[in-house]
Amino acid sequence: MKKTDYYDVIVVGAGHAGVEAALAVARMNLDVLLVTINLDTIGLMPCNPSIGGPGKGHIAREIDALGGEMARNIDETHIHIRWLNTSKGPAVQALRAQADKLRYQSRLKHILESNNKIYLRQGMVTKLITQENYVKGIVIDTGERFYTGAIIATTGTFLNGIIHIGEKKFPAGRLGEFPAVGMTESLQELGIETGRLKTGTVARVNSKQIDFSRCIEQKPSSIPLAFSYFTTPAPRKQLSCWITHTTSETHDIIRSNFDRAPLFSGQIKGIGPRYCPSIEDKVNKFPDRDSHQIFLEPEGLGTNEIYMMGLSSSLPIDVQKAFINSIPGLENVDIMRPGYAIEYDFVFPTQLRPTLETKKIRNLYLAGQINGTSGYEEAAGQGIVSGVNAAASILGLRPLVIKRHEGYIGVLIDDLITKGTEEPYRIFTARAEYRLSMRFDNADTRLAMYGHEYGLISDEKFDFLNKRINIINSEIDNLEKYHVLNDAPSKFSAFVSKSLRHALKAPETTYGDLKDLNSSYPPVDDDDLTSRIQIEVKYEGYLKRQKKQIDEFKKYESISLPEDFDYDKVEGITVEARSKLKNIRPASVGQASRISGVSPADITVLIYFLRKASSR
Amino acid sequence: MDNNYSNFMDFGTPDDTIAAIATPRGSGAIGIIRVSGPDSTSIVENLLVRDSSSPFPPAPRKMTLAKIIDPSNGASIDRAMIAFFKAPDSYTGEDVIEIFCHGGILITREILSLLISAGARAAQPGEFTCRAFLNGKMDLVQAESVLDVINARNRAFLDAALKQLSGSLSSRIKNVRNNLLSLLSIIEVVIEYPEESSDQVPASDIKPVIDRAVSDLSNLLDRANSSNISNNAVGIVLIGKPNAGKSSLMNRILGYDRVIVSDTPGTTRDFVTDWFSSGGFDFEIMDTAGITNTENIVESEGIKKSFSSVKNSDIILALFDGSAEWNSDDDTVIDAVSEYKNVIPVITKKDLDKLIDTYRISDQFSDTDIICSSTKSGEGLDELLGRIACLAESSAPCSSDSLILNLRHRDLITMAMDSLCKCMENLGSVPDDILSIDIRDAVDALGRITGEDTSSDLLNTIFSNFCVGK
Repeated sequence: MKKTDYYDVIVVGAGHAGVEAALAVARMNLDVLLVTINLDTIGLMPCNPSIGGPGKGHIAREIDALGGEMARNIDETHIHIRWLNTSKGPAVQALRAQADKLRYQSRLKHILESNNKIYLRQGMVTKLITQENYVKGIVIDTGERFYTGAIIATTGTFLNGIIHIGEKKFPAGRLGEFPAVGMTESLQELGIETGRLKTGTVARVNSKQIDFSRCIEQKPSSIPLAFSYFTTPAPRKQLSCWITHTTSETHDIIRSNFDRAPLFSGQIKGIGPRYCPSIEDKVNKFPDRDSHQIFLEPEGLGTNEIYMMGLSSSLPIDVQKAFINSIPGLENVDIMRPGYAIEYDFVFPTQLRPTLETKKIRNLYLAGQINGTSGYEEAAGQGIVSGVNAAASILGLRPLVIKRHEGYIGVLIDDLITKGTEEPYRIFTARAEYRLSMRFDNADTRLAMYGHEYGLISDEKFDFLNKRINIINSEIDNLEKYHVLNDAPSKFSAFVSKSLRHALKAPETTYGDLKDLNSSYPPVDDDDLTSRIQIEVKYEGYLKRQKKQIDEFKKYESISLPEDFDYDKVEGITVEARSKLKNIRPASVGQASRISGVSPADITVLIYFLRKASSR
Repeated sequence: MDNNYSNFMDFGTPDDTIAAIATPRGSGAIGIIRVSGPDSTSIVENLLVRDSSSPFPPAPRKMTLAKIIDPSNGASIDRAMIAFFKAPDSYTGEDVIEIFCHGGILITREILSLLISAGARAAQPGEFTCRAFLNGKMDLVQAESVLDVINARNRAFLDAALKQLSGSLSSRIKNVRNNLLSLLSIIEVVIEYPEESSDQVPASDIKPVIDRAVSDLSNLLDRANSSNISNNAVGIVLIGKPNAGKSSLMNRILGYDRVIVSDTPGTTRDFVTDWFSSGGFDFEIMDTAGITNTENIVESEGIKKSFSSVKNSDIILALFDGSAEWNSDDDTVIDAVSEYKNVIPVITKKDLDKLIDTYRISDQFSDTDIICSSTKSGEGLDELLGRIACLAESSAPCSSDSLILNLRHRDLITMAMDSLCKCMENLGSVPDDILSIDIRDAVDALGRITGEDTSSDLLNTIFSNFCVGK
């Protein structure tokens, strides 16, 4: 039992960001109060019931390497898992899994409940208590006050959320949930600037009404797979997904109801994501297409609900029903939940430090959709970073800043705090400069040392990871010691007397071939490790080239810029650069160089002044 | 202008070697080219013919005489002094070689081009100083003083950049870059949205786009090569009747026999162009066909060209044969130049008996002194060069930075082409994500010329061209 109303850290919101944040704080051995509007929606997936894919899957894996929960949670609760992009190269392949939505939530909730350091509490935060720009606590809707050393706000779409379904609009945090009122105003009073974004989701239907014979089946992987380094893949009950498509009739129905679409009528003012357009947006923008693919995804083993990826819409319910029924296989379905659009407040993320702490208010951290992102993985990635940093601040440890070359989480945070965002930000592998070096398979070599440093990964688990990494490295050396023998199959005759490592570099050679090239070579018997060995050897040239680029990149990242640096004193930089620098207050010269409007010339000048300032 | 030059990665990789002309244009008789980086000695060595007894690199901080050649053909470029500064005891803290050559942009530019062909990269404004700082070589006093110079140079750099970018160079590069971006977006959309399409992009879709881009870029380079100097040099044209001594004067100015001189009038039909530096300026000098009334079609075509080159030049040298009687051809020459102010009248062959009626010229050029010259004795030559320099000053040549920028552009275009060639080599044997690395590098390099950001442009292209998402 908690004896005081003081907690080391308070996390506001128990979505994917809040859960990782709270767990990180607790695993660093601090007390954490996790406040949520509704205890029954912890870790809810209000949109796609899935985790992973290129970029997103990479983040889930990075969270695992840092000692977070997301990967393990999906491993325990998925109902469909498979590899994506296997033919497109090592950098972009990733797992994607469909979750059993309810079990995903209940497992997460149970993990939180079982942790002695975590205190769960239902309630809506109405006000932040601060003192001289330091956070001190919160007030919740019951009038109770809780005090703390740090607050992590992960409010998702709840801040002054308004749902739109056709001409109807009403306040809500998500469909069927209360919005959070008061928190935005509290942030604004503290000088934090906010904007408005829009996102949306699709209608759900009942699988028993779907004619799957008119759809194409998409089967899960035939062998067990896992996101987490610490999960041993085991067979689980799997369901198929299904593919259908819109028809010209669907598009006609949508087009003839454009005047009733809140997206086009001006009813919705927030900016929605381009990468995730609603079906009315797609029909409007791509009038030549007479068909779009629709993926039917089951939401769990214990439910018939089907998520229909590709049909996000905020058209009136009668229009939604009509266009859904015009799709092959969906002729006879009823709507269980309508699709809708939601507008919500977010904080312009350029007001944040790389630690996700606000620059204005000390020990106030923000993570997830409140920072303008979208997606469970993006939220969870920020969640774990904010959690570690809030705890590190209280414990006096060095902050955790993941750099752009270390992980997608680093790319995501750096983009947000340096460039801001005008639409809900989603990760793409194309956002990363060093994609080949930041693969799904090697998140452990990139990030596990941080997870271990902050105590999120035990010594035992860290050893386990390192042992595997060592096998990879020593095996790559070992391949140099064995040579292709004369009796190798004829298609490898060109490699005779060359090393196995050399032979493996050829595009047509696989690790599995090596035992035929030299029968005395003892191959490693672990598919995960051999595939990693193969990637490291095959793409060594590209990886080395990227390493060079990364070394240069790190040089500028390592020159730090004090936050109180007086840019007015820097003569010779452009007016535009000065105002951008003063606004964003980059943490390093590297970050400064990525601000639009700041030129290499400005950077050079900046470096001199910095040097000057530091030698005084 | 979004994100213009904002990519600090412009400053290359830490172990590459950079080179630039360190002296500003018009500063005097000596030009300095600075080379810095781990390969500076081996790169410079390529360009040198040395006395075999002297070691290379030479002892640090000592001047050594060396002959600089074009290693591709052995042609002699200049005699220069070389100074070697061994890391870390150098300006930048890296191995540095400074080449002290004859001044003027022609020789310095030529040497810089050779260094770049030998593996150096054209440095950006402030890059030496930046390296110096990063290697801890800058103290306060130095930083203060260098800063002023850098500021001035950077502003000039940006001005020149803007000037260049408003022109056709920019639109051509943007065009190539956009084609590559479209290609990249086709590859990337399949990567980012694997649900929508599981196949790789076929090589047959990729190859023509890359081929086209490589050929466009190589055309661009050819054009840049041929127009580079003339864009920045002051143009001088020689005009006069046949055998007025145009070719002799040109050879005399250049200091070597560039043009075949013959007593037979009308020898110069193909115009000869060459470059020289004088008084801190660079000149492009052009010999023309002699002006005469002729029935010969080839010859009369040449004469037409002579007239038009007069129109396009910064300085006109109107030559009159002092040893010949005035004739109608001289009248034609007078007519051709009468409307121009930038004319220097020259009476040639002063060493021979004077037959010409000088008053016909002084009548036409009442406010200009006539120069009497002899290419045999060299008389009048200094006076002529002095007058040329005076006119050059008023013809406002471009700043030296625009030329450096050109080299930077060329460097980046070459980088882009290299990346695309690598991509072609690997086409069909590597997966799309590897293939995309080289295409992206090419788009990056071109974007650094036009000041555009690859990542955001790529996503914009994807979202405007493809209908994807839930």
